[in-house]
Amino acid sequence: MNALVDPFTYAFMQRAFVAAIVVGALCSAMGTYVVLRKLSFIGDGIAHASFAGIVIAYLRGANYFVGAGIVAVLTALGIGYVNRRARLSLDTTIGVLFTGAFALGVFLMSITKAYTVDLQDFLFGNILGVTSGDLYVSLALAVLVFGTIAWLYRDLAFTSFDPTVARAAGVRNDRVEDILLALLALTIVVSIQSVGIILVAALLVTPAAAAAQLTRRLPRMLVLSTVLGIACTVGGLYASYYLHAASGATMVLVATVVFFLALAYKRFANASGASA
Amino acid sequence: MTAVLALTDVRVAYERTLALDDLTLRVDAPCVLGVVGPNGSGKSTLIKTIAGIVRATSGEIVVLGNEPGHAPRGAIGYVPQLDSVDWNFPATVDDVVAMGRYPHVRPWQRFSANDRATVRAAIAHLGLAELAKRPIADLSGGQRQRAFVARAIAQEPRLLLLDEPTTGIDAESSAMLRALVRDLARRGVMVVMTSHELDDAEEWFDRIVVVDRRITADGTPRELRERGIYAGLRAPMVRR
Repeated sequence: MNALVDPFTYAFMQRAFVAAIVVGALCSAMGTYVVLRKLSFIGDGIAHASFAGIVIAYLRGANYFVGAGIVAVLTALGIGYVNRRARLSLDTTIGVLFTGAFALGVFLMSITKAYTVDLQDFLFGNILGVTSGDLYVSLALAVLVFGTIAWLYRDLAFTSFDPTVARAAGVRNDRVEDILLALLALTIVVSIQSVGIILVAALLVTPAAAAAQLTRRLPRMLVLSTVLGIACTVGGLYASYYLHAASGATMVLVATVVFFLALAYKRFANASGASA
Repeated sequence: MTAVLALTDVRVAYERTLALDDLTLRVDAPCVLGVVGPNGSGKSTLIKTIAGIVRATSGEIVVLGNEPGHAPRGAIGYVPQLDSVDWNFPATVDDVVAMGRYPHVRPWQRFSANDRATVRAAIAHLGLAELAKRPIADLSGGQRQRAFVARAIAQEPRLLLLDEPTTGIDAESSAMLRALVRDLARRGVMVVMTSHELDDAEEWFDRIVVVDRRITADGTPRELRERGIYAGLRAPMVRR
């Protein structure tokens, strides 16, 4: 029992656990739509692109949420716009925009002498450095994301399954997609401090992919993905505390293990004739 | 009088390939309109253009009194070809058919008793009641087609667009679909349907247009048969 409670004796660990819960819930709920709409690459792209915003905010002494948020949302909406208008495939569009924005971040970082190791925290994450202010921003975003998912649930489901028919029926697919991409961008920005730019895409995809192995109904997938996401981030944080390992990487490793367990369960259930 | 459908000199191009070329078509009153023609003649493009999914390069289009893509929510039902979606999507037959009601239900609003009854009736109408709780991934091609049609029926559209709905379904399902389409037309729903089938054309359609990038023939099934148009179309249904 002490092993469960011990980490909470530190204030920074209390904040880290709250951040882990919020990030786990946000990433995995949004991840459900990332997986269903085959947007896995986009999460990676937005995360890398936001690096430019982080560096700009850092150089100007501004809040990183603001800098990263602006660049991430603009990149996400830009990806959606270029993809719809330029008749380029989604992966090509993402490849062009995210590498460009990421290169801008590296370029700005390289020409400034003010660069310190702080920026590395954004690449690999440092959940132990989360402040109370960061938590309030994350919680506000969580309310916004889950509220929007509830508000747009049916349009999101329809356009994720059959965007063409949804559009013919008068559902504004472009608007739904733009809202989803903007929320995804904000989710990524909030999650970067916990797991880092390099690993945030894994938290978007892996819990949702695990949930997809366990159910064949969207509402259940959404709930299961969120629960698994929280379990992975909180479990990963505990493991990193006792193993003295990097928290972001440990969370992602736990999520990877959960995915393979879900895959094994599905194979076992199929083999024994049970249907999830 | 406002036409149900009015397309004037419509051109649609994909990159440099012209799919529709100065196509003109007017439908004044709801009926079952058959769109026939060789593969690659632009039948599916015509359906998608009416649905507002494909944008015309030039020309004028009025659908139910609106520009394409601006019809009221739920007014246009569309049954695409089966390969248009990922059938591993986590949904049951019931979930997919219920999507037909989504355009009519506001955010936060729960399904009404009428919504649920409409979904149940559409499922029953297409003979899918026993499969209602089954994941769509487990359905056969014919069952998937019927689920798509049930979704469109549940939507209660004013205009129903069917793209090759009889492909891959058995004779019994085809007859069920035909009865359904005729029933909808009787209730004032405009139906536009692409088809390779000409054998039962008189039982399916009130009017047929033959498309080969533009309308090359237009009339009742009987008129087209008497003019010998059928014979030309029965020869290999590929573009000449």
